[in-house]
Amino acid sequence: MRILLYLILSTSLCLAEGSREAVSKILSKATTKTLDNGLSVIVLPKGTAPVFAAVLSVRVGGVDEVRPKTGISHMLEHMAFKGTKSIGTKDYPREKILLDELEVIASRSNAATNFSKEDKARWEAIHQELETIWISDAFTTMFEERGESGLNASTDKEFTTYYIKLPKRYFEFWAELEADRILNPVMRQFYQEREVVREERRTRTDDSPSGKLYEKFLLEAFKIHPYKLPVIGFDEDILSLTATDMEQFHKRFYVPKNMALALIGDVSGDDLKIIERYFGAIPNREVEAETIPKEPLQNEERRVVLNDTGSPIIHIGYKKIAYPDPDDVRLSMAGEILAGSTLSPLYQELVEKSGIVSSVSYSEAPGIIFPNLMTFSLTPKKGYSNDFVIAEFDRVLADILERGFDDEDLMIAKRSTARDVVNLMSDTTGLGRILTQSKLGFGGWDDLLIWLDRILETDKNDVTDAARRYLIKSRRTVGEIK
Amino acid sequence: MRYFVLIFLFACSKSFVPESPNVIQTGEIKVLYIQDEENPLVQGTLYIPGGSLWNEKPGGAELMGALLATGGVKGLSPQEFEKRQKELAADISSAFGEEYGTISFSCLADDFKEVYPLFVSVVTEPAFDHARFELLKRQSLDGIRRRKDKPDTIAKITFNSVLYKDSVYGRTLTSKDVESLTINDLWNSYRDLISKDGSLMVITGNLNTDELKEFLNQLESKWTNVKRKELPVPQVREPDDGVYFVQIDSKQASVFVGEFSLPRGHEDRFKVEVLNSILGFGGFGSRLMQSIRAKAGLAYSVYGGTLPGLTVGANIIGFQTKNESVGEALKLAFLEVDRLKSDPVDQMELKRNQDSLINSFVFKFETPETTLARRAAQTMLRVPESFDSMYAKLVPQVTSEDVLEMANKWWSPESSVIVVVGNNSALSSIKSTFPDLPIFEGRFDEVFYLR
Repeated sequence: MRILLYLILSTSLCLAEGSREAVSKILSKATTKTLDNGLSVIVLPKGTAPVFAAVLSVRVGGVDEVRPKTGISHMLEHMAFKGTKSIGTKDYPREKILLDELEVIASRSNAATNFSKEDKARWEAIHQELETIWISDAFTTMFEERGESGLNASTDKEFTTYYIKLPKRYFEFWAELEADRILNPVMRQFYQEREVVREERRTRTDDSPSGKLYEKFLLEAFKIHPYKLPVIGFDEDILSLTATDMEQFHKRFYVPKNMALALIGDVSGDDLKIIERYFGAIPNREVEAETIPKEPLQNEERRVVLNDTGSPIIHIGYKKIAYPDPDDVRLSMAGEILAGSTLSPLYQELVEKSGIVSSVSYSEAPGIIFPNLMTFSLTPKKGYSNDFVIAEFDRVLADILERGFDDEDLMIAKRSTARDVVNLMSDTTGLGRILTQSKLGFGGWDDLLIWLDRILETDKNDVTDAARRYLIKSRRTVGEIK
Repeated sequence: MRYFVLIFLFACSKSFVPESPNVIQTGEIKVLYIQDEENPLVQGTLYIPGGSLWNEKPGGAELMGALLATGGVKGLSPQEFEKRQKELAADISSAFGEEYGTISFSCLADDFKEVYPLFVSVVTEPAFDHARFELLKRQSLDGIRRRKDKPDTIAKITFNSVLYKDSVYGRTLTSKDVESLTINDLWNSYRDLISKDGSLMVITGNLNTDELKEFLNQLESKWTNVKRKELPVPQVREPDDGVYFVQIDSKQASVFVGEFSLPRGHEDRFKVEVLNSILGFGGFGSRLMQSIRAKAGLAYSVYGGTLPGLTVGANIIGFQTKNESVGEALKLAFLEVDRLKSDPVDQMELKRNQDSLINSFVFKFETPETTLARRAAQTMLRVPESFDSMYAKLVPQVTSEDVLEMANKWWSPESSVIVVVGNNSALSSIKSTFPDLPIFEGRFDEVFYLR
């Protein structure tokens, strides 16, 4: 029996390593370079279609914000699609004069929210004239007519990332425009876009029970660290932002050393010449140092409860260490074993057997660089109170941790995780995002492989030990909709 | 088994010719495959015609599709089956929608020979485990209960039910439907739907040809064919125009505007593709996006265009805006349609949208998986094989007069169905902006009911 188990486990280990080798083989084709100004670039040939994906990440996000200016990174992401000094305008010198005047009015009208009668009239007159100068969304339509796919961007706690896929024949065109928007952004249509972002917040947070709960949950889980703040920003903070704020924030964080670029698809090392030609022109500047406050140790369970907001949801989030601490990968494996699939014990006990919840899942969030949370999310079924569900969750978790994880559980978790990384290889923009963010967050282009190696090296005793040390009530926050 | 290989080419943008799939006919199963040595995986999907539009009982196809790959197979309980997949790091899944279903597998190339027997079992020897069936029903009921948490979901369900009324397109699964389903209903759906007749298998990855042959032999020999029932085109009745309002406690209203439009395969479809791009499917540069989002700052998400359907298509406009702005945003949306109906689009805007459609066409063939998935879905949706070559030829030929004609022929949003889900400010905003529109107030409880 023991020999049979050994054979099964050995085979599974080989299979996990097969995934690792498949990933390694794909990534081995990459060429990397750091430009003289500090911009990191990776070029990865992939596929046969004459298209490429370009992913540019900037190490700026929610953790770089303070009240009352939350949401500024995300707002700046929106503004990055509004054009440059040469794209999106018929007369930039005149536009600049008018935009500057808007800022003067904004500075004396509480960020354009409380106008005097005269200012209001002038504000509208300036906008009327600007409407005749602006070529609205010229920047995006130039890519659209060239057949872009997936032109978009995202902002999270630590990164702002810009995505696009284009036919290869427009590679140099893309490079010129992308570098231009880093060098010469214009805060055009800012006050209209501020309203667009407020609409986005209404959709994602204010009118979404799960969005509202998650915002409150993070505010409770983190007392000092900016992981507590919503990336989209509080509504009153969004409303306090001005175009001047945007320009200052851009100048501070959109620095070559603070950015990484991935090019994946029909590309080769030769394309680096074009990258150097356009992106090399961005001035080399030091990234201004910032102090991000450290979250103190949590010593007692915290709770946040929303009533009459929607159907019940429960988040149970445990404070944990982040990569590259060795406990990070151990906890990833613990989460995968506990709630990563329909075979996981939490699913088996709470969904299949007792049927008190319709789903259970886990996540490691809200960011990747700083100590974060391992959060188990449960959706209670009708007829079962949240308190009962949480008590059952605790009972099942305690039983599992007392027993400890076995080799077979861990091996299946390793295989699943390695396979997830293989799946990632087929999504060129997703891969670009991971590569650029790991470069900016952890320093290496190969951190994906290093992380996977560490996953494959984990030991059942270490994983059990880490789960016992971190998954404790005094270090958790429970957020619930009742 | 007979193997013969055909090659067919897709016409595509400019000089790019995507990888041509090999076509294999194994007895009664048609297979398309593309060898992709760069891919460490083998991925396969069986496409099967039929779906919820032809349900004997509501929910039969959808729940059968969900349970097929999760309810175990002959000789293996659901848990044993899932464990075997996990050991092999394989994924086997299944689902049925309105018009067709899919059963898929994905695994490392080296594991294919161990995974394909599991896939064959799902197709030919599912177990529909009773406990899993009961679990699936409980999860479906929970999902139905949670619909009311999302304003956009309320709006979509309401929109379907008022646009398509009592036809199969307007039906939404209720808790009563789910509670009344039995395991026998799922077996009936399985027998009706899982037939070789009209099904299509697509496979990509780093394939070993011998293993592929063995797989197809096994699928062919274990799968007993039955003649598929007819899938007649469902009938619909014209909707009753007006504003349908559902009051909820929210900061933002969800709005949908809709009317019947051209069916799939209509001769106008390429001209309408260009109109769609100009109006509201064309990204940031589209007119609705420009007018309602970029210039007025009234919405984060706004779109509009024609979705062709089997029986009829639907012209839709959708957006979310703060309650007080519903009337203003709707007015801007109608203005954009009116502009398309009265003023020929200028040559620069027309060319920009045509270029966008043609230049982005390559992404439909970006990988072997996307190429084959597109071809298979088109087959299931009864789209002619000539569609892609016609698209590349005809989209550049569309004129501004064609766009004007299409707008006038197909669009009349003021006399259509308008769904507004929001608070009383949204209702006041609509009433003050459009005092002549009839308003029907309703409520939402799993589905939409007129008061």
